[in-house]
Amino acid sequence: MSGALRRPLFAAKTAVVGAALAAVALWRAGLAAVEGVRELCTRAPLVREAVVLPADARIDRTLADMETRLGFGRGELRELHRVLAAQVDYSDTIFVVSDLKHPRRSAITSLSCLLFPLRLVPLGALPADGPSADTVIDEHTWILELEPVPPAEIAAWFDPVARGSAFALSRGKKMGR
Amino acid sequence: MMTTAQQLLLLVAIPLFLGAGLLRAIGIGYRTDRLAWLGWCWVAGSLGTGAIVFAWMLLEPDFADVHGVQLLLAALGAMLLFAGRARIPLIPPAPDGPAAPRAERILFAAVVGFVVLLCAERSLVASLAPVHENDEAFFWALKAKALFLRGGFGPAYGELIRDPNFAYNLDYPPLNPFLQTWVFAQAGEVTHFANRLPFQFFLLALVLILAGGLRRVVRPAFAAVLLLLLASMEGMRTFALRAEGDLMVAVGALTTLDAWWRWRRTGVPSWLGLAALGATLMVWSKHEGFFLCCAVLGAGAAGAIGQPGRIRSVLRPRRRALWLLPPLTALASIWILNAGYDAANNFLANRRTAHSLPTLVFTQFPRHIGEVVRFFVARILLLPAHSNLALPGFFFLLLAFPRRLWRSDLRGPAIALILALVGYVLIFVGLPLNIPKILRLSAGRVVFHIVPAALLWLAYATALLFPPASGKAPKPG
Repeated sequence: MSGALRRPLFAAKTAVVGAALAAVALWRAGLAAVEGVRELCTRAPLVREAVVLPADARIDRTLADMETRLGFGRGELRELHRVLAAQVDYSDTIFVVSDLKHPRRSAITSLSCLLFPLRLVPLGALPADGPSADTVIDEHTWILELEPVPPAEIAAWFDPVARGSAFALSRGKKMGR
Repeated sequence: MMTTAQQLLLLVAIPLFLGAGLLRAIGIGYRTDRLAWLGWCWVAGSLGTGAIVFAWMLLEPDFADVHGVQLLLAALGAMLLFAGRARIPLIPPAPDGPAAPRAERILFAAVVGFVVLLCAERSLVASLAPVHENDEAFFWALKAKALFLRGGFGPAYGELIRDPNFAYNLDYPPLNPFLQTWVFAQAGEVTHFANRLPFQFFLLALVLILAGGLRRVVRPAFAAVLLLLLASMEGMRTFALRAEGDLMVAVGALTTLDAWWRWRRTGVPSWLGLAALGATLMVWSKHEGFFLCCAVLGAGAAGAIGQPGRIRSVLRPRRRALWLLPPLTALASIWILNAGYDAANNFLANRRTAHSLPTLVFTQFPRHIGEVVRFFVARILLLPAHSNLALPGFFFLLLAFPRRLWRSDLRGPAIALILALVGYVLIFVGLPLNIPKILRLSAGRVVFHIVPAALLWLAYATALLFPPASGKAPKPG
């Protein structure tokens, strides 16, 4: 192809590609701007709540949302969180024995994150996928059956008198698979 | 659990001040680039803070001494600022990009403000929920809490993280946990909200650095359009909500590319220093950051095939090679920590399969490659939520003008972006996990690492292919 022909062809191609790119970019950016403005307008109440609500209230709100989202009973996770935060030694490890399936069992991991260094380890069933052979079950280890969670009884589980009887099934032993 | 306004202010102000000092020491000041400077300050300041926290953690600290460390960081920042002013010439202010009417410049300023406001709003809404799920809680925050509650890298920390019931991915790079530990130390307790703050500032840094980079090369209106494209992406929402490492990798990649181009076009060596900071941020944030650095080196090597003089010219004078020290030191720190705590990299020696990633890629390739490529094309590249125009535009221009782009200084970054994308596809092929599930969960997040850099590439490519009426592509400063 001669240079005389190539130049206008290149100019035409540049114009077409440039116009196509500009059109798509403008269209997408317009959508983004509209979406952004709508987001700013509709979420203003959420921003206000985030600023006004104290941290504990926001944690409660999140747990309440998880209860609804993951199919727990009303108040179950909040009560468990409250009791564990108040009554359990933070060097404890709690193996939560339940038939919780994903994603419900992720609620246990989330509670564990909020209560760290107390560790809640969600388990399908003991001993099949229970504590590993290296885990020492001692006075800091609880094995907690959690299905269904009866909020009224949770506090009693962790009553110092009850500790070591009802839920510490294998305390003081080295657990094998 | 409350973090006071004063603590929040210090959380932001100290790294920014330290970052300003570090930048001034390599010749970059506020006037160098008024838009991007604040973002670069956050990058440099976070790295500086992370380094000091690392040293502090090695000393098994008493966190009551946090005020001493705050003073040390501030003094370091002041010293670097004054030493820099006295000895290092400032890079001259970058000229504005292509000339534009006042209304267009106002439009660009308004869009930058709008996107910053959007990021701030998303960050505030994120603080309705504590750090309690996803990788931010299970990988990153847990490690920071262990460091804080066990008093640094002592035997108690080792005992805790070796507990088989403790954590996942202990080999991940440590900058994210260091920054969260810094927040805990200042609050005097584990926080569940304020520890997201450093990462939410990386979101603002990303916007400012990209805005500064775009404005140097394209007209304000087109820069505004590209910025809006970034703002609407899924990654910009996700990373306002979560304190994860991916955003830092994206900021590091963008900083490195932007600084490299500025160096190429001005020859001012200080830009190599900024590129080194960007590379350090990538390496110290996630393993993918190291992988991206390898992609950059691979692109450099590919560009130098048949022209070995090119590599020599980059490293001449030889003291330029010193800029490799920060990323290499970060890499060494990761290896030393992992060796010390017996935390093997999952990808190099997978505990589930006892095979390395390359072996798994090779053995799983025939089974998974089709599925992974299909997912990347249909659900990442062509889905506006994940790449908007950035990656389709990148490939479109490369296919439309291969020779023109190949002969320019856009070739190296283009090779790096392609290598990164191909590498991510191969990594997903080799994962010993449920591939459809892991693709759905993390492919978009991982590709976001290169999306802001691809937007900057798009700006440079359009400036080259569609120059302003004067007929000359602008030379960024």
